[in-house]
Amino acid sequence: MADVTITVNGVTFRVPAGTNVVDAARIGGISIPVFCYHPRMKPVGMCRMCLVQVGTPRLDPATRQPMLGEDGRPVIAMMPKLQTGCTTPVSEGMVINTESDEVQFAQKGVLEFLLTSHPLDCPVCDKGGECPLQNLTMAWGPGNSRFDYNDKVHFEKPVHLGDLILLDRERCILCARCVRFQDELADDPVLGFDNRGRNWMIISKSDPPFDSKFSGNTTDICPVGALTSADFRFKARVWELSSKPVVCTLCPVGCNLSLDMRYDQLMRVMPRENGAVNDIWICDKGRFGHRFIEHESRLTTPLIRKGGHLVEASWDEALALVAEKLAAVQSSRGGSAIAGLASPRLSNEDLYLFQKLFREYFGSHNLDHMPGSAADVDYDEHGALMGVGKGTNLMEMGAESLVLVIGADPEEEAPLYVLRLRAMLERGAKLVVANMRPTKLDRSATTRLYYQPGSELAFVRGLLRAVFDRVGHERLHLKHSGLEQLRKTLSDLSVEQAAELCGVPAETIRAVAQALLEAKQGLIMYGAEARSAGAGMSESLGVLAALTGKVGKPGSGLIALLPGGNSRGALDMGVRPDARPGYAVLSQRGLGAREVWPALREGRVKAVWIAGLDPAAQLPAARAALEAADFVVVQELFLTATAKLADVVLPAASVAEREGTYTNAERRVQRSRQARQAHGEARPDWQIIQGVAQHLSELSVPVAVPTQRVEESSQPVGGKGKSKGPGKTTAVTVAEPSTWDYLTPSEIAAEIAERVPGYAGITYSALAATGQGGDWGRQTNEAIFYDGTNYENSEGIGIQLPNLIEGQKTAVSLGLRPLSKPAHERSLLLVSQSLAYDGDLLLRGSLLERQIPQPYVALSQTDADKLNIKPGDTVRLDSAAGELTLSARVVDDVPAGVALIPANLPNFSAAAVQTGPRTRVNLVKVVTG
Amino acid sequence: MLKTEELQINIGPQHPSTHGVFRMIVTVDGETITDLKPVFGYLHRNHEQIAEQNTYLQNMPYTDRLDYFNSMANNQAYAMAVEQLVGIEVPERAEYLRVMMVELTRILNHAGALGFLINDMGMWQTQLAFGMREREKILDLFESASGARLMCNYFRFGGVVRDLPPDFIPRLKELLQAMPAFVDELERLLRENEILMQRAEGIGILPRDLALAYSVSGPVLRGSGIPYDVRKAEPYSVYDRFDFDVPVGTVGDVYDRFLVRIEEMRQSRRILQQVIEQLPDAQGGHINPKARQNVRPPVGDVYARIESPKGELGFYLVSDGSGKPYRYKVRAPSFINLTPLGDMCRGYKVADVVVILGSIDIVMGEVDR
Amino acid sequence: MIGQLLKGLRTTFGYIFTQPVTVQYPEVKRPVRERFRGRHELKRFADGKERCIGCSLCAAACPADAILVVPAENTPDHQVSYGERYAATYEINMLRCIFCGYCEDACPTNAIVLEHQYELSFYDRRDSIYTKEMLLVPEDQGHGDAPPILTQLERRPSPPAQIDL
Repeated sequence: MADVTITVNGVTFRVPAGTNVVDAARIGGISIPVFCYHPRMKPVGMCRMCLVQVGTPRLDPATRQPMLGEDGRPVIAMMPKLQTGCTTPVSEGMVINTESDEVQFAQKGVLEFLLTSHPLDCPVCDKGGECPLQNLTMAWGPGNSRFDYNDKVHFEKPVHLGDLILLDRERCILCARCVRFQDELADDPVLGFDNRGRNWMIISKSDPPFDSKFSGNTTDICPVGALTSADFRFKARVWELSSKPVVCTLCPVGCNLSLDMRYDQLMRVMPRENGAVNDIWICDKGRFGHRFIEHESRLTTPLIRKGGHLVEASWDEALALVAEKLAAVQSSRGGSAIAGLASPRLSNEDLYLFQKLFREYFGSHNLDHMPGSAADVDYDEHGALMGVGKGTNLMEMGAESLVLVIGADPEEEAPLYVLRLRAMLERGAKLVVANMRPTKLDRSATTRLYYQPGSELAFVRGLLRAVFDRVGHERLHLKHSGLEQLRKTLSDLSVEQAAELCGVPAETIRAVAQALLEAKQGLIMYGAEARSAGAGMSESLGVLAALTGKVGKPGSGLIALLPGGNSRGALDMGVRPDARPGYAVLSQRGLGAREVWPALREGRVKAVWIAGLDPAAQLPAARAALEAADFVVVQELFLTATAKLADVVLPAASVAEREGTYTNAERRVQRSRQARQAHGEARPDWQIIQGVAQHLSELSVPVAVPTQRVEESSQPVGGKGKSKGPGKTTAVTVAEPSTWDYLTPSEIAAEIAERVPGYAGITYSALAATGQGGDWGRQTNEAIFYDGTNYENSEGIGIQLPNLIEGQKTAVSLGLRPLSKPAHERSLLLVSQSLAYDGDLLLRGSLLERQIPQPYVALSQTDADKLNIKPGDTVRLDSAAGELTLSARVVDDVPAGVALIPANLPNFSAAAVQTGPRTRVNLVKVVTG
Repeated sequence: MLKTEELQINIGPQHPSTHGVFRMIVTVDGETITDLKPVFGYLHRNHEQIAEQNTYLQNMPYTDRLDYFNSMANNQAYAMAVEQLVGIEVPERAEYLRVMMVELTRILNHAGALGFLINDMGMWQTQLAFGMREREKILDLFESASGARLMCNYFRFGGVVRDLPPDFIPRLKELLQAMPAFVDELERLLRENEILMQRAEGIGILPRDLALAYSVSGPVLRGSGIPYDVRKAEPYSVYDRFDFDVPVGTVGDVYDRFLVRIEEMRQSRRILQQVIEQLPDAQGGHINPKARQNVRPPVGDVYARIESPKGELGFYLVSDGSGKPYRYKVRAPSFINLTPLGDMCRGYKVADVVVILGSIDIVMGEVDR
Repeated sequence: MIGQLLKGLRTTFGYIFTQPVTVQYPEVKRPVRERFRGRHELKRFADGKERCIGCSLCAAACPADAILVVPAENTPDHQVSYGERYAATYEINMLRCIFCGYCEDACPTNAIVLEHQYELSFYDRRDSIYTKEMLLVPEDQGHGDAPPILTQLERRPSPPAQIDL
């Protein structure tokens, strides 16, 4: 937009047109105090703190030109009354006065009024020290009040707005920042005003109260201490805290957090600004879900099984035992009798060393980062191959971009994406949400459509066909192969046939395809429900992105919402049986988690090392297998069900006690720092792995240089497996066996940068660059208005990796696997719904534990009627695998033909009935008595 | 003539006569000193770095611990520096109270310093006990005003923390009344005293030019005959309102410094008497009520100096606009006065080293910081 | 020479008849002045409630970082002080404390006062941590009524009738 010239307090400068007076003055370095105004929200002019004098050039009614005074300068017509700066946009030649007596009189008056009922309890108020009301009173306020001190309104002190947020109505200045945040940004309009006059107050309108995943942010933006979080209330004063920069590992967004520590204790979690990841917000899971790091049940010493019991041992003893046992298995049964499972919440360094140890010492490819449940979905490769291009920043995207969300519920899987997508919408982007069932994001969608349960692949094929019909492959700028195969596959299914299969009208499919083609930038986000359709889904979405030209450029590509904080890192690091780091496919694959359990029981695998996963809690098969195993090593934070079955339990350091890097859903590698001392004797995972390696070399175990496996495909291709046939094979130089003497994770990161394709240049020092971290933060003249909102990012905003096809010489295969006919032998499709507050180990000890639901199965009204089921009835599910008894819920949002169960709840497992990512079940009411 | 060989010996760092942990590497030829190298730093405690981590106000009690004999003087120099940096006015009464405290400090410092000097000469504790007895009376006054005898922490930006207790002025008058008797007795016993003359006269001569070159200050400089006193050269606070003289020596030996200190005690008494006469009444206020203690000075730097009992004490502060000093530097008189020790000792006997050191009057807390 | 000796001895004999200025510590203890800054005490109000509201301003003012306050929330059954907050832990490290008195100055409720006790020796460094139990005065030694600012912090019911005075 064009710039306009304005004069503020006699200083003339140019600002973009459309800016409001508050922001415009700030551009010129002049502060106008505000309470209700917040740059991320629309102005409302409620608090009156930003009153200023505004004048515009007087226009000659005849010529519409500014009238000139005797001195040749335009005559300024000052508005008769003060104007609120936040709601007044600047115009050409505008004159603003923020310091006149009149303005100061108004500012003092507003503050005097605000303080008539505000209690002077700053010493006990949690906001004290980072309180905009304090700041502004000191800077602009009157020295004293003419109001009777005893006339203040008193309310009962804390009111629970929800489980997590408490309201102190006396302190509230009714700026509506919280209400507007919930309405405008989070789209959870659960807060509102009640009553009037001096009893005007904020209330929660929802049931359960304050039902929002983003409620914690309201405590940040509250300019007074009215909203406090139950998590931080009366824990510490803000000036005592030292903030430690870490990265959230609870979901694939990878929000930048600041752990506010007092000495070694975690007091609260605050967002750290990163425009490319979380802006200035975080979700409640990140904010309140970090209490696990100081939970009293954390493991503090290594445990060794002696005489059937786990007893405390020294590190040396435990590591030596692990090395000895594993070496014994290797020498007697070969390395392939050892399997390793590592959690996707570990850092890249841990995961890299884990697979390196297995591949280098044991020559074993029996690696996985999933628990080995029947419901485990295929490894997602297209999220990396066709992932969003380097330089993608959702903060900068708006008009002319389109986001297609398919088979995902970002609210539960990666909550912060809701805020980010909504902000894009606000800037003019289009949002197409395609799901089998309604989600909260639908309310924001420009186009929402529901396909028949289980038909998402047909829907995507329909889209592909519609795109192909329109533009063919003319937008396909990538080197590619298999175009003919694609043409043939697509010709099998017309848009109309697809529409029939998926229940979405053909016109709608064509319209979405058209919109995707028209958009300059396009993001395709897919989640757990889409991925449960199999690898064909991400493959099809990859081809869709390629055909529409939405690949390999900033702002376009795929975003896969994978479980855990670092699934992408686990895939990149090759913690999987069929590929080395960087998606280098192995010609001979090892055993994945799903195959490890039967192999353990059959004795083909003797020893298993589990880092940070708890398969025994969920999977009876894994439990039985672990009981049968010769030797089980578990490195964990807690004594989990799996750890209880282990022969050696090694206490691992949590994310707060170590350094590491994590790769998020947009393939941004971010660095997390150490926030506190080690918990007991717990060690970072990479040190544990290195410790075992060192003990192994002391046993002089020959390093299993995989000479027989030199023949490998260097071609990074996705999901084709053997069907693709042998790719271009080259001899890979096997690196010298390393000495395993890394001193710091940065040394491992340097090795990753050297050896893992795509990670070149990802060094710790590069990650610490703050670059374009964002325009927000504790800038000198902003701090006092938005104090306590977040922390300036001084520790690095991370680096986005290029996706694998950028600059890649090899061709992308366009071949698609055939569409399988859905089986219909049982009446309902069992869908596991990912929940934000689930049985994740890391939620232990947090206030969110209360919000974890009891196990249930949700049905549509139609199905419930058909099966004569009332809410609360006990029902039995049966599938080809087995039976499961659950309590039933009847929910509007569930489509007919679906039995929706929450995934990964504590003490509950659907493994008994699951036959794969998709299971068909029958459901019967259990009549008791 | 016997052929002799040079020998290096250490005096200190642990030695009863080094006034703290201070080390001198002395090269001797027989009994004669050919070279002396002072070694500082044994009491280094990061004073300036700590001060840069603290708020401006939090440094006030830390300045007490520089020259722990003269906490009031340190307070004044630091308070003046911050007041100049921020631009805080100090009420008149507060200025008088400040001068009162610093001049009392000067008396107690010199009483102590002379006591220690005589002690160093081997005349044992008698003189020291005399000095300590007088010092005690002043410390008692300090305690009644500030709440502490040594680490007074009495000054604040814009004044002093509390006004005087009601009985302070009568007790001060009593003290000043009795003071000439003490000083006269001191002088009567020691002036032209045989032992003192033998140990002090012509010993440790610091010539004028050398004194200037080393930029020493305080009684050491004035003992060398240079009438330089910050109170006269650049009057601060309300010193321009008082009538007092600056005593100077002639030769610059230990004896001259001794005489200068005795006379300075008398001059301080003169100033104190004028302070009592001119002291504005309590309505003047002991502190500027508008002065915020939690200061955030504008970006800039300042150097403020006073004539502390030991010499010119200066604070150099750089503000970056935050609540903590960006740079905090102390110009410590003890440290700078100690630097010419080698030149002062060369040619004298080993036994003279402790006397010369004692005549400089150092406090290691200020030397090493 | 003889003259000088006699002159010195005259002084010596003169002091025989004066009172000694020293006191025989520890048998005799020198009284301290009113403003003396010694060991801290945490005061109470006359009704036995603690004055300390756990605001940590003393810890913020402390130049030596000697004070640790861990606050907690008052509940109706466990009302330790007026208002919502009280100090669950209050510790002063007497090895760090420099007795500057800033904690006194910072305290909004005059809860912490430097009293006249100055004999603070201990044989073990760990004993230098003075806990809240050691610092707090007995309940019957409280004095003064809570100022309005604190009573205002008390929970009050909120029927509209009470607001309209």
